[in-house]
Amino acid sequence: MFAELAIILLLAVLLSVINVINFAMAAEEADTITKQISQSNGSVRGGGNENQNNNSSPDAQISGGTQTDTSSDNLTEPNSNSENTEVIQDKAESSDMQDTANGQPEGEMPGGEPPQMPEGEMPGGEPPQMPEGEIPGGEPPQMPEGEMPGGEPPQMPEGNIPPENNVITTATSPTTSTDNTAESSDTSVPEKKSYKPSGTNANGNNGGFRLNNKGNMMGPNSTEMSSSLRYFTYAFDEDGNGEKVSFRISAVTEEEALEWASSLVNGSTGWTNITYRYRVYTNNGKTYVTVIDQSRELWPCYRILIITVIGGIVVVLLSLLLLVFIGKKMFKPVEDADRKQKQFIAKLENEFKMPLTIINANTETLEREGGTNEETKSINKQVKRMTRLVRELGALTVLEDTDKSMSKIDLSDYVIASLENSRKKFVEKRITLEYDIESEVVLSGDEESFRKVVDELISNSLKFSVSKASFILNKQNDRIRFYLSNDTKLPDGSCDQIFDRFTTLENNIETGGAGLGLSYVKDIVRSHNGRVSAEVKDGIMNIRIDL
Amino acid sequence: MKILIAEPDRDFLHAFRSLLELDGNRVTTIFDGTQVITKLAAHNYDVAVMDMNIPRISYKELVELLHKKNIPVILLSEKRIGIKMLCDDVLGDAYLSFPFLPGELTELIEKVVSTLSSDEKLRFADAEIDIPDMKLCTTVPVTCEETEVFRTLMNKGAVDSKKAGKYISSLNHKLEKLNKKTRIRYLMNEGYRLVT
Repeated sequence: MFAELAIILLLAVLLSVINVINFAMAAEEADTITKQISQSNGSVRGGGNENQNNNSSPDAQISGGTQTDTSSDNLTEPNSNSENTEVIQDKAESSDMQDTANGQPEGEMPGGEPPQMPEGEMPGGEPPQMPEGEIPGGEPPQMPEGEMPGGEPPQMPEGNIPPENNVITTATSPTTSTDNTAESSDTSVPEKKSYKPSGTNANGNNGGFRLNNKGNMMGPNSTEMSSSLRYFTYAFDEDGNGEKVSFRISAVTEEEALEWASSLVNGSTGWTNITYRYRVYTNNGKTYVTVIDQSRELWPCYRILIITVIGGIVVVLLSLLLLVFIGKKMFKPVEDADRKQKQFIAKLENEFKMPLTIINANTETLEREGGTNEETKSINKQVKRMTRLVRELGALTVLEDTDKSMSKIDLSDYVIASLENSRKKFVEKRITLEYDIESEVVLSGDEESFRKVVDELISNSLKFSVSKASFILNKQNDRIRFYLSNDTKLPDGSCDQIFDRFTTLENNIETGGAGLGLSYVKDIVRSHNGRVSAEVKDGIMNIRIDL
Repeated sequence: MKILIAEPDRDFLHAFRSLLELDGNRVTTIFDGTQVITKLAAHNYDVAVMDMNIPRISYKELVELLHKKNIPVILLSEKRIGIKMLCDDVLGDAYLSFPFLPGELTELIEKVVSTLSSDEKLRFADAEIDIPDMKLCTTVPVTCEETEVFRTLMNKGAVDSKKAGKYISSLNHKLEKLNKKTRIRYLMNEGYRLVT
């Protein structure tokens, strides 16, 4: 039971740690970006290759207050996230195409080309290789032709895409046509160039096409990140007048942005509006507030959170289910074995009874007729010994179907009576006997069994006490407590095993017995919903029974 | 004494016949319930020792038969003699469970015979045992052991709680069932006593 709880707890801790680290890292990355922006002094340049020009054209679209820039909206598939390297070699995400297709015409050409996208020209740039399986190293697709949109890009999700496709770069082409219909349809077609297949590469590397990386591929410092960043910066002077420094956000208007920035002006850094990160810094007497949109970066974090939570719950439920169904099967063998043990003992016991009785009788006859001698005496002794053992066995095996009757048992009476009865024996063995028995301690149960329990405990005490024995019986809050202690030679520690069948801790020929007495006690107490326990402390054995 | 032993195990019969005859008893052994009837028709016995597992006929019937002829019956049981048995079974005049020492049987035989030969009533308060009917308050049967315990207690004698424990309990149960006020309780410094 506890093992399961421990495992569940461990799982919960692990998943929580994963998520916490994830979010912390996201925050840190966001910080890196805001720092970069702040370092460039609130200028438009983020950590990457943006330039003013870049802004103007898309801004032109945005500032109209339209939300046509669907960059953030298109984040149904967060793969456009620059952190996701797969994007570069990705095959299956058509939305990616849509994202870039729908108007982020600031995709930076490798080699730092001015983003003169709308011209449909890719001077110096390699034409993107369309992800068509049938064009291995194939012809340059003729991009700036009106039929691009709706054309090849949607073929992305097909599986047979040779790994050397550069998805992103393909994106640019449709862009040209959709956004600038006015221009592109008549734009001159770039000259066809022939491209030799640059060698297929099975493991998904851009075999042949190498991005001339300026900066990193992933993370807050990546090339793509800086140019895909959505943010705004406002500068405030001492009077609280705000002035736009850069505006590349799509969720708010400029007025709203100004208001937003001014509300943050007294802070330093942190999250705002859940998915935005801000930083406040001063420069030249002005206070700059930069707010960047981290929604795309946060999306995977939340995704992981959901996955881990759901996954964790599923795992826990599954394991509990398994436990419930299999648990029973697991315990069955143990229960069976226990029951069989009892049955076996009972059977043995039955088989021995008659023969012993007969041998007893015959031995006596023998002695009376033939005279006693060593052999007959010995036989007599052994048979008596066996008889005693079998009787003990018989008394002490509890089968479910023995005559059990529930009745009110006056424990106090019987305990005191038995103790007094055995007092002589205690005296003989020089054991001081003390007891403190509350009167009228009554119990519902099988009388016969409890008598035996008491007898057994007293007899146990007689056998194993060194010099002192004490018995305490009382009732507390409707629970009966029976304590026995005696001094002992056993070492300190818990000794619940004395209640096991056939276990005798101190082996002594005289005491004999099959080691069943205390196991009987345990069985009876258990069957009345009680508990037994034993431990040795400071040389004193304490046995405790709760009912 | 004329003793009738009814027991399916023949080795048992041999062993105890030999032993009991050494004491000068006349022993008749039977291993089949039906034989009891035939023997009874022809002879009389002082005491009968019967295994509760006698075949062919339910031992209860046989006990009734024997009681009709005023023959006390000692029942041999494989199971331990429990309080329940003493309260519910209520047929035998004495019970003995396997395994036992031969001495125990001979003692019991003597006890049973001597107890039932007397004709007396034991009374304490509202509890009364009728010998040789062997009935408590004329309705509930009691065994010889219980009778002996009762007698001892009446005489304020000492009773061994270990040996007599179950008889004390069974007597208490029977008294309770009869709604009598008499009970057997353990009194400090005195031991078990009949009390009301």
